[in-house]
Amino acid sequence: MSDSPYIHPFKTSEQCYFYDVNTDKILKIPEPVYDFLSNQNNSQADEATRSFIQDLKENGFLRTDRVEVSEHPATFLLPYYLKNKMHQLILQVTQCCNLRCSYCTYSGSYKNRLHSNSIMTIETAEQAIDFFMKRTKDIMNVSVSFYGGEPMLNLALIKHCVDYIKKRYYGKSIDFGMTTNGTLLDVNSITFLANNRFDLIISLDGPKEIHDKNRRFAKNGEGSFSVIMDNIGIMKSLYPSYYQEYVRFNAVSDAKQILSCFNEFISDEEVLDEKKFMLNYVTDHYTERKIDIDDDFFIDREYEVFKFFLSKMGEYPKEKTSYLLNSQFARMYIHCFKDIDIEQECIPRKFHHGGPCIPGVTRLFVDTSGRLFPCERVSELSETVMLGDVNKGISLIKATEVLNIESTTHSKCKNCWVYRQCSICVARADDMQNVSAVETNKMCPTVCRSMEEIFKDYCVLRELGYSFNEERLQGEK
Amino acid sequence: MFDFDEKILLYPIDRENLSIIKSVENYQNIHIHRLVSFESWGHVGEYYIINGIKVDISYDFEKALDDCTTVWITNSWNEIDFTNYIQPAIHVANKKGKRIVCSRELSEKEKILISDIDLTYISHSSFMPITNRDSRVQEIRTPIISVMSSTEYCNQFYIETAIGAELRNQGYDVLLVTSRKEGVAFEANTIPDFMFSRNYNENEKVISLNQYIRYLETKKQPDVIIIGVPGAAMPYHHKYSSDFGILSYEISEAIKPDFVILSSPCMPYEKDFFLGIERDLYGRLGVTVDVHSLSPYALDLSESSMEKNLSYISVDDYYVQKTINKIAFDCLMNLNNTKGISGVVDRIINKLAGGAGTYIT
Repeated sequence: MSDSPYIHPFKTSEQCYFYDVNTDKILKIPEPVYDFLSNQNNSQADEATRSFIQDLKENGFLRTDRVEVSEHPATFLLPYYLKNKMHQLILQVTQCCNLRCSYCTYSGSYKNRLHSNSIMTIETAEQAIDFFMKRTKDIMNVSVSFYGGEPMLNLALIKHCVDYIKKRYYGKSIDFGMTTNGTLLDVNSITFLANNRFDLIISLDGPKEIHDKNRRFAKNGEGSFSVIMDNIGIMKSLYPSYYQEYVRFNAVSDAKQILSCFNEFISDEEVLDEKKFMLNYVTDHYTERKIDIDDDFFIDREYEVFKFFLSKMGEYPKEKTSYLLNSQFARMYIHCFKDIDIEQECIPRKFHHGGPCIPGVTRLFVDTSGRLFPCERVSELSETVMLGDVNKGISLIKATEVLNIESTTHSKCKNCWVYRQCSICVARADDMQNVSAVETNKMCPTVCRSMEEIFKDYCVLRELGYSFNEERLQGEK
Repeated sequence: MFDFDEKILLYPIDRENLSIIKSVENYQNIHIHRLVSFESWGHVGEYYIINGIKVDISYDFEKALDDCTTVWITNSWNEIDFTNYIQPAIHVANKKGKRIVCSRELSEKEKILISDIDLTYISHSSFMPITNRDSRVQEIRTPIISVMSSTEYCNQFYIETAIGAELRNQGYDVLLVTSRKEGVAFEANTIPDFMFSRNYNENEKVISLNQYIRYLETKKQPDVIIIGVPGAAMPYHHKYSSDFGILSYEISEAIKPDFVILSSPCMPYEKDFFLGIERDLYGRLGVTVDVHSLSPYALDLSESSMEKNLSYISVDDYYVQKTINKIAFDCLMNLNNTKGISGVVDRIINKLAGGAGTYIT
């Protein structure tokens, strides 16, 4: 066990804090205490500081406990999770796409497959559905999602799957979902999606000049914006309730265009609704390519975040802030707003950092040939992450390895203050051959920096009087 | 409830009634002939050995109905639309001249929809509660075995009925008062209906339950009484409080058990967990736990935390036994199989036949 308290001191411009890893709490402290904890220099602590420290210790803070054995809590029950509690099936119905988005993970810039004409057969789809449904005994509500390429290019298979599931697997609540580029939506397909209450995510990167920069048709290189907007308009007019409740948009930022133009875009376009947008950034998984962040983008984004926080305080009109930041604000709740009823004395002796989900259980991704992966974000070329196939099933050994990625970095992880909040999963740790300490360690500074910024933002908002609570969280959602 | 020659179809099957199916293994008078579920519920293809015969869980209700005489409509953990899946099954069974028994909780509206069908409803034993303020709790002289659970899905019903069957096999006259109303099908009594009613206060419930057990004791003159305590013995965690253990408290005031069994979800506990729960139960209910058991369900802690409700994962007997072996606590037994039941019955007889005071002869 290390002798030093398992904490992370940090400051905002007004106050000093430390995050106590064992109790998973953020505490406000006087500056001398902060200096002491940051420097661990006992001889410089005055009586008041020493007394404060002693009080903290007596109240269960500043413990030095670390995780001694790296093992994910779900490991013990993993065979039963895999046998009885799968949540979501994602079927890659085709590897074909009618767009050639410059940042696509299948564009050749990533260590992943390329666009191809491979499609999933009916037999493989039914096999995958049967495989999944047999393993949902302990779940009342499951999801079946369709992915690509562009899944609408194999709408016939999707319709078959929905029909197959409804005929055979009635009696259970099953949600359908799809991520689409939106270019192939027409009245018939929209009717099908609406009738089956598909959770639909449409990729839309922003106003025309931004969207069309990256998202172009394969056949002629033209931008896809106008086609998508027309289709969205049709959908909204034909099925307004469905559109309101089930349709969302995903904007991918390449860290070059500014966020502030987005609000104008959303308010100008009648069909769009600010609550529906999520923002993601071009991924840097599985690529050596560096994602450069433009200075203008950075300045603009930070300014938008500043305005966003002001709006939370009621000091700035909400409609003038970037709607894309809502999902990021929700992250603050997840990481910082804790149920105070959960009293944690210390981090368990046997534990795992917070990154991995339960592979094959949280999600089960099936590619066109029936191979099984933990999600759609891993590389389909990597043996590290391939869990098995629909014929042979999931390898328990593989699933255990993918779940326990900390095994390669435990000696470092156990002293890391972001242990509980870590977001590194196998997709980040995969070097295409193994779960890699080198790949994991590359991510660590970003994860630590990001988490510290979230903590600081949270504390600043609290300092300014913002009240985080459950009701507000639901409202944010 | 059931005649010897009745061939019963149990529908719809999921975790809610697996305990009932297992219990039937010990009761020759109940012939579960077919088990029907939905393919989406994950049980189709499984099987149970019932009275030496392998019975598969199938999905074709009408086909299974053909060689049965009786349909038993049960509760289910999975939510299911009554008008699409239960009502049609009842009508089909009725049309084919089958006897229909129903232990499923139905709303008044649903009952009206099938009011034209001749059905036998299974419900908790009925007893006129005592509302006389001068009544007092009376001593129950017959030894009492109390079976309790920490949470739902602790296989409690099986433990109650299996212990009852084993004691009978050993020649004892058993009065079985089960936690679930399905006990009626096993020729047992159940915790009476007034205990679940809002029309009576706690005093009335305690006195009336005591009087009910006294009445049965006098009437049946058993060697031993087994009482299944519905609900959780006490809140498993302050976040998941169930009914706060109020029912178990009321029962503990009405009857004082001589042997207590507590079943808990299958988790890799430290011994301190059991010592702690024993201390808490003694403080709350004045009972001393003699034997602990682990159920064939583990807790999904992550999902429980997100859902703010206890969530479970099915495990098998191998996992339960492995966990028990690892914990290695003397009072912890595996009561999910006949070997474990046999073992606990030995302990029961040793204690109740050997101790001073109340004993079984």
